[in-house]
Amino acid sequence: MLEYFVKRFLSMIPKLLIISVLIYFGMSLIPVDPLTIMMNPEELDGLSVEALEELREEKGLNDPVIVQYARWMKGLAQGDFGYSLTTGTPIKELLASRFPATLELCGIALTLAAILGILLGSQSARHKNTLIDYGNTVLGLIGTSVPGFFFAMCFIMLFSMKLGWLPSGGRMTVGKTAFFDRIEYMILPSFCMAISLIAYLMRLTRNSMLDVMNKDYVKTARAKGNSELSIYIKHCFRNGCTPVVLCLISRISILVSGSTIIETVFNYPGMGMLLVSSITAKDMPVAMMTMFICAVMVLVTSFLGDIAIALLDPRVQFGKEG
Amino acid sequence: MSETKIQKSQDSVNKRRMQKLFSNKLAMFGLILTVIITLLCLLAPLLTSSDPDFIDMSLRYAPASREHPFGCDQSGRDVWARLLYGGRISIAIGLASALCANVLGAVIGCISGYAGGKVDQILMYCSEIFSCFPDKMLILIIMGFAGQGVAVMMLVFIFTGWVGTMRMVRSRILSLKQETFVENCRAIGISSASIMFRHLLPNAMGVFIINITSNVAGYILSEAGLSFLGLGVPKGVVTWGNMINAARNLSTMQNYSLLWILPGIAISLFVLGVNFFGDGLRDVFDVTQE
Amino acid sequence: MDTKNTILQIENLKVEFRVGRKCVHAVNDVNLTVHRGKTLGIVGESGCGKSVTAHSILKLLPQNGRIVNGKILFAETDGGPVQELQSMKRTGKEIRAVRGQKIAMIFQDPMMSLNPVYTIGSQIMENLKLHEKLEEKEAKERIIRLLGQLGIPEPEQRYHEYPHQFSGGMKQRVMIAIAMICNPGLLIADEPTTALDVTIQKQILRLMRNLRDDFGTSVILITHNMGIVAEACDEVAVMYMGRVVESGTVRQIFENPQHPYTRALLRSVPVPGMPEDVELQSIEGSTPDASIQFDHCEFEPRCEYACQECFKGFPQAWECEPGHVVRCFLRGGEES
Repeated sequence: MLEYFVKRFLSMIPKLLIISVLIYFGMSLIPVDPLTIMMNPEELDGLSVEALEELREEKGLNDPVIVQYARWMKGLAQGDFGYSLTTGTPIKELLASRFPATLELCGIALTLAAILGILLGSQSARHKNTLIDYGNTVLGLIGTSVPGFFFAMCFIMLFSMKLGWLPSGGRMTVGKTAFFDRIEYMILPSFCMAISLIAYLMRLTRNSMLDVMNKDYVKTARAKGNSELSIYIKHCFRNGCTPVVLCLISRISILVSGSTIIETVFNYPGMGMLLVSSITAKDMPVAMMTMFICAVMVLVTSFLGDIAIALLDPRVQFGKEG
Repeated sequence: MSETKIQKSQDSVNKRRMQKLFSNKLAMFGLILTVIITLLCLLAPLLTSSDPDFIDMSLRYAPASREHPFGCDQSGRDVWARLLYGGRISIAIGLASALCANVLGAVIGCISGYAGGKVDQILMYCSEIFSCFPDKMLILIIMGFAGQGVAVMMLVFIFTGWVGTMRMVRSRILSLKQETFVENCRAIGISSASIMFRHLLPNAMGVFIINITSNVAGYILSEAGLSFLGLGVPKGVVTWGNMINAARNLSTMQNYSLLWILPGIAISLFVLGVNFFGDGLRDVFDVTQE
Repeated sequence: MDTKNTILQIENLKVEFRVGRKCVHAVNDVNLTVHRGKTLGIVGESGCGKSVTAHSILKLLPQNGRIVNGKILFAETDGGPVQELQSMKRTGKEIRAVRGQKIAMIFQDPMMSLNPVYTIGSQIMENLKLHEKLEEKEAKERIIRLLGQLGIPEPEQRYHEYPHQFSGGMKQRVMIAIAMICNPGLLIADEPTTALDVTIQKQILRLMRNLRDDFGTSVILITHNMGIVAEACDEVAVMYMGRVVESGTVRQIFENPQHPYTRALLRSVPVPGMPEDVELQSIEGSTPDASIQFDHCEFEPRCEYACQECFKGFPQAWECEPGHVVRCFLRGGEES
């Protein structure tokens, strides 16, 4: 089992390299002097052309591409992501301030989606082809069809403007930074982010459970004298949960990027809004680095997903090792 | 002879599928909804006499009237005309990109599955790398570089959209490759290209059609989302997403809610129709959602 | 009911399935008796209702199936209380106390009958824990002992392994272990060997015979194979289209078959000791659609002896010799 995990972990390295090469290539396409990305703009102020040339030599910008790439990678590993073109702040600081906010929001959205999606999906599976099932299916399709930002705008209209229950945007009230004070800012955005995922998970759970419920081992479990609830949890859900768990794990990364629109609507200072604002401002280094982080997230979550499957289904590891 | 026999059984399978599809009320409702909205957009010149881009500052935020059934927007343009003409571009972007992306994906998937070996490995590795970049981000970044435009957007959709279809078609081809009729085809001397595209690919049609419907829905949503962010099609081009973007600031949102609710409903209804229909298709072709 | 010799008695059982708007009568008017310590074989072609009969004993019918009529009487011990299984609720506490503990069941396909994500030890343990309060260690020892008795090599080690690490025959042994761990009075085996290789079939059948002898368990063995009946059963019931057409001891049925269907079945299967020059025959025609409602003997369309009388109605059961019952107009059956 350990061998499988190590193998799987090692297979991430070449992919990580390819992704970094692509990002590096993308960075080199940015039509500005590379120095402005690499240095704090304050240090560049008022330097003469000769001094700049000297600096260029010093920073190794005249070295072969491979050497420059290696140096860039080394910098990345040490957390040197370069500088923003518009504000001159180190990108590291920007990411460090935005990442937790997004993670917080995604965490809540995922939890919400997992609970509701699995509950509704199980309900549909148990009452297959009844009114409840059809109702859930139609609701699910509506959930995937209506754009997230439209939901978001409707909710802002209703809950913030008409009813005044919840704030229409932002992350916290000035001076109130405790988690519980921030919750009211996260209710609407996290729910909007969760809607389409709820619909998707509901469908996945339903199909997976229906598939399992017809299996012979469920009959065996019933013949043992298990109660319906324990059959449902110990046998149906335990066996049917693999695709659901996999989907949840893979969605961690997709939600981080998929939150661009929702974060923008709610003016929530996360990674998504950072990406949008940097692209609007043509601040490409920031955008590229945000994407780099997300691509790495995808890699890591797919690794986690494989581990989860191996832990959930004993057949997997044996199949791959043999 | 066996060829005609297969053809016949295939025909009857298709007939049964069509019957099943037509008896699915939800799918039919979706199809009708989609067709109606598409027709409305296509017949726009007959349904409105206003020019969607004609600016008349005297009509800013004009309320609904006989001439302008849904009123006018912040630049005095007729909302009804903009809805109809905007739908044309939104639907066209979704449909065209979905078709192209799926054709590309199907061809690559077919080659990958049929050729096997090194070719397959390389193509699969490419698709894995591709799927590491969340598509929405990739789209945003590329648009950031290439600038905004309808064609750019469609190209980006196609560029990022082929992966899913490719994988599904590939796995379908891989399982079909085991069957004897492929061996037969080779034995009579049919060329590889012909086997791939005339004999194998039609069998992956279900995956193809279902992916197209889900992609049309997805791309229309993406277009709307990107345009809503102001990063999609240029501001001057009227699409549903751009209409909502124009009404995004809080005061417009509150005071002239019709301006964003109408295009929002249009998008939702159209995508809903496509999804209802796609769901019916999925039942018929029995393709499980991954 | 005679609780001294009988462990299970089925009287006039009738089971219906709703399929769409149609109603299918899967089992009609079935009477069966399982004697203590004996093996009853139920034979018939697929779709004749033998599995449905077995499933209705433990109320394991699918949602759309239900018992409309009849009684299923079960007496675990001699002189003990007689339970009416047919009146218990499908998911109720009562039937759950019977399942797995008093009546156990094993299924056709051992590959599919074990949950792939749990070790076989924990799957046997599940049954034991549901019905008996035992120390963890004691329970484990008992399971390992049983696994050894059932011919599974290195039971301590295999206790912790998963189903996919077992072969088909071994999985069926595990299924039998799950069924036998609580020492049930009655074991229902629904085509336990159909999915196995012929050589493995022999071993499993021998094992089941040993169970009957060593544990005194009564067995209902469902099969479509007359050879298996000859090998493993004491008594036989032959079913056709949801009805028992003939029943009796193995000797009676094999040496003196009365119903044309039984005869045809016997002619179609090689039986140990049959003369070499006898040619095997198949039964003409095929089983009619189960949703068709018959107004007369169901076997008539395929029966080589069918006569005028056969169209009149259903033949009554007739005891042609003690313990040997047949339903046929030709054999004294009267119109019902």
